[in-house]
Amino acid sequence: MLKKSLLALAVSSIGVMSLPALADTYEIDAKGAHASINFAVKHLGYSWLTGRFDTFSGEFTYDPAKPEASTINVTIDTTSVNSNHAERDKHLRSPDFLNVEKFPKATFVSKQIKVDGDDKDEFDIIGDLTLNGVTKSITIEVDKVGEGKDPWGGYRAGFEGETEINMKDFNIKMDLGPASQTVKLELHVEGIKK
Amino acid sequence: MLKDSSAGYGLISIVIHWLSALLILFLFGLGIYMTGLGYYDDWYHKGPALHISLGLIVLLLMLARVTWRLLNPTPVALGDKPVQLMAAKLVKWGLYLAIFVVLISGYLITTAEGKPASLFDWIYFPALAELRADQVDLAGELHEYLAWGIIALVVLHVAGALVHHFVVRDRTLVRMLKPVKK
Repeated sequence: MLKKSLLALAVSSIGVMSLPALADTYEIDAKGAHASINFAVKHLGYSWLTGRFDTFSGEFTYDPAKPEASTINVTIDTTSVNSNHAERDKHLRSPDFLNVEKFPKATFVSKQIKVDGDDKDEFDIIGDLTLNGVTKSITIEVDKVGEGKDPWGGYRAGFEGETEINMKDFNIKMDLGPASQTVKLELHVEGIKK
Repeated sequence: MLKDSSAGYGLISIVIHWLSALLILFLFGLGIYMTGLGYYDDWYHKGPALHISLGLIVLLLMLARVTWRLLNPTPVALGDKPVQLMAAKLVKWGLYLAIFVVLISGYLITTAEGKPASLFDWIYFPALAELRADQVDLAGELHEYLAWGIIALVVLHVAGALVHHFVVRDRTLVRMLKPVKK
């Protein structure tokens, strides 16, 4: 009897302790390149041209029980734009596109997370994207990929996200034609718990 | 006839001089034209490909020219005013320097990500160095500004040649048109 109540007390205290479970802070593993910021633009409407930003950093807070309380901020080095083509990358850095001399950084700061439906591993991140000197609210659709201990004593959580932005909205001058007005952003983010 | 002497230029130097002069002026115009093109213009891809091919030809011509210059006697400059002789020399060396910097910066931009530079899809020149993004942008600025520098020096060079021909009335310009006899 005593044993049982002690056990019950122990169980309930664990429950109590885990209730307020503050969201953990994760650093995005850009150093280990377990995260990537990729973009895709339709080429003439016939195919996809893909590229990425090689250099960025950021962190997020995340609690699997309360994903709507999560936050994320990312800073991207726009000079690191890479589409595997020297002259095109030079053009992408120029004032025709990213204007990196004037705006070497792009940032994303979340404002709100919306979990729709029952699946807590699927949510929308609404936040401010600042790119080419223009700040605009965008919505990123996110799927959680997984989380857990890594083999080296750390703890990781990873997500994938997708959104689409209109180049004109961010004051990007170059016109790539009617089929290529928007850029798809494909994000893969793995964070290491701090 | 082919070789230079202290009295004047041989046919090889003359051909290299005028061929590179034409190509450099054409490349300057093409460079300005093609960088202003929109994505759907016919020459959006042809322009840069031609610019790179002709640039590589000028690079080869310049290397041949320097080699030939080292192997041959240099024709003695005409005129007796030290200031003018010095000015002519400075403009010539300035041209050599600016042309080589423009050629090399162009080469480095094209091959910055390790891919070769193509001469009419016929000869492929390998990448000698891979550049970081900021280095490519710096090379681009050098390429553009020094191209204008070349044009400024060409104006001085041509003005000098015309002064020699019409004012001083010596054989400076003729020497670059008619190969020396011996």
